Amino acid sequence: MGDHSQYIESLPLFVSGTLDDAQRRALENHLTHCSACRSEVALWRQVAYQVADANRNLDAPSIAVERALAEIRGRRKNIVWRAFELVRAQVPLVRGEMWPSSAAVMAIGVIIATIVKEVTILQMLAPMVAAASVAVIYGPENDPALELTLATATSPWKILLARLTIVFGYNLVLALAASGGMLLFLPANLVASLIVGWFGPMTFLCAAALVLALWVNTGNAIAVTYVAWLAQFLPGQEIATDFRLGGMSLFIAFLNAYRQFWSSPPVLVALAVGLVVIAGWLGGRQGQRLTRAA
Amino acid sequence: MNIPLRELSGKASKSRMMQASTIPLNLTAAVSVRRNEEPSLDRSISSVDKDLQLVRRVAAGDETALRALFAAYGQRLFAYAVRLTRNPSVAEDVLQESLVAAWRGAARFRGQGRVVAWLLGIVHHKALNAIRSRSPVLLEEPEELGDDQVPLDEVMAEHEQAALLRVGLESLSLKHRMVLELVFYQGLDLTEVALVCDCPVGTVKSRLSYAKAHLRHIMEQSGLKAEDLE
Ligand SMILES: [Zn+2]
Repeated sequence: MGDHSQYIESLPLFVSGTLDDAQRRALENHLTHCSACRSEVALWRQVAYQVADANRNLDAPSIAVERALAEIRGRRKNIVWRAFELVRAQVPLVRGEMWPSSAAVMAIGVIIATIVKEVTILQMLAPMVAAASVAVIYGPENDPALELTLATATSPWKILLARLTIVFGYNLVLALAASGGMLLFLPANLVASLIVGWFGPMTFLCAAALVLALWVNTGNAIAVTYVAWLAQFLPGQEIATDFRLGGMSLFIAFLNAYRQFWSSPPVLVALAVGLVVIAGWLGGRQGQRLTRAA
Repeated sequence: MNIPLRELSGKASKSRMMQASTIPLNLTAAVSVRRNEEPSLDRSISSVDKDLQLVRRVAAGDETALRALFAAYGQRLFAYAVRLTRNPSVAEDVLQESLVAAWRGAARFRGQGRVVAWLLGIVHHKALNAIRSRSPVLLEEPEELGDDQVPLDEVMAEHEQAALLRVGLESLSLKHRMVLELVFYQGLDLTEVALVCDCPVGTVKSRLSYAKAHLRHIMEQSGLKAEDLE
């Protein structure tokens, strides 16, 4: 038979039952007139039997799945716990004056907003307070003990992220408390839109301040983010008329688009996430430089 | 590798041999016995879907889904681990490690092949790691089964094909034995075996053919001609 050799290979699969119907029928046909293959099949069948027989009394120990699940649970708890420990370890290393100064500025904001009955002040203030706090969380100029911190096994980007979590979280709580205080004068839906109004800008401004602080320096980071944020509050219409600007309509259109940008929370948050990734990279690089110098 | 011939000629195993040797001659019976033992050889679409569903649930962190996978395949995975490690307590650790690895890797499973083949691949990997860290010798090339090494006369006297075959299987190297295990006990096709062993399909084929030649050699050495097998 010319195709005998092609059948030889599929004989074990014929015995194990993994051939498809067409292959099986063709092989059965071949077997009727090929004693060599029949002999092979007989051998494979005995092999199949012995192989199965060797496993006959093996029962899977169900303790294995219980132990595996215990290990999985332990590991999951570990990740959360380790992250918490990391954040907690960084709390004392955040610059101490950040805590009272952020709180004081927000308190003054609340008082002014209450007196002048203008909550836009809070909306303007919350992102600025947070950005200034975030700009000082990292880097040799802000943390003399950074070299010591970096000497530990924790990677710089984790330290950076832990501190960002602490400082951003604290300022977020402050801003929420201040906005919550406005419930005394405002209906709940207006307070909600106040929160939506500052949350996106706060996230983006903090991320931008962090990147600039790592890339240039803390002072410039604060200055640039403040100018960028406050520019939208320019009274565009009035400036244009007062100075009789030629491209007046173009200027106003730009200002409107710019304001639109600051009131799109999804865009701002997405950009913030991207900036935090860049900050992690910058922080890691800076950490490497510092540890090498040390 | 020492072949436990003494064990083969012992009383307990003799009765097992008798029982075994009568069945494989009836070819269809041998296969149907296997079928009844392993309902999970099922290749139907519904069972494939059900398994995939379980893996998705495992990926989502569902512990009952992992238990269900264990209930369906635990025995086969354990059997494979025992086959590779030759030690039930090491195999138990391997099984546990494999389940943890399956849990962590479930999100990356894209349904390329059957779930059981994926699980066996994990067990394979973990078992080889366990062997490497314990006794690297096991992974080495097979020792040629010389005439003087094995007192085949002792076995021949029994006129037992089954006993001879056991000797042959015992004397195969791990890489050949594992292919037989995957094909005949685990019911995998060649592609799946290749996936589990992380080798080309051609290698699987050549291992099968080597194993056959080796077993045939042992049978013929003992005076059994090919025709006797029919
Ligand atoms: Zn043939």
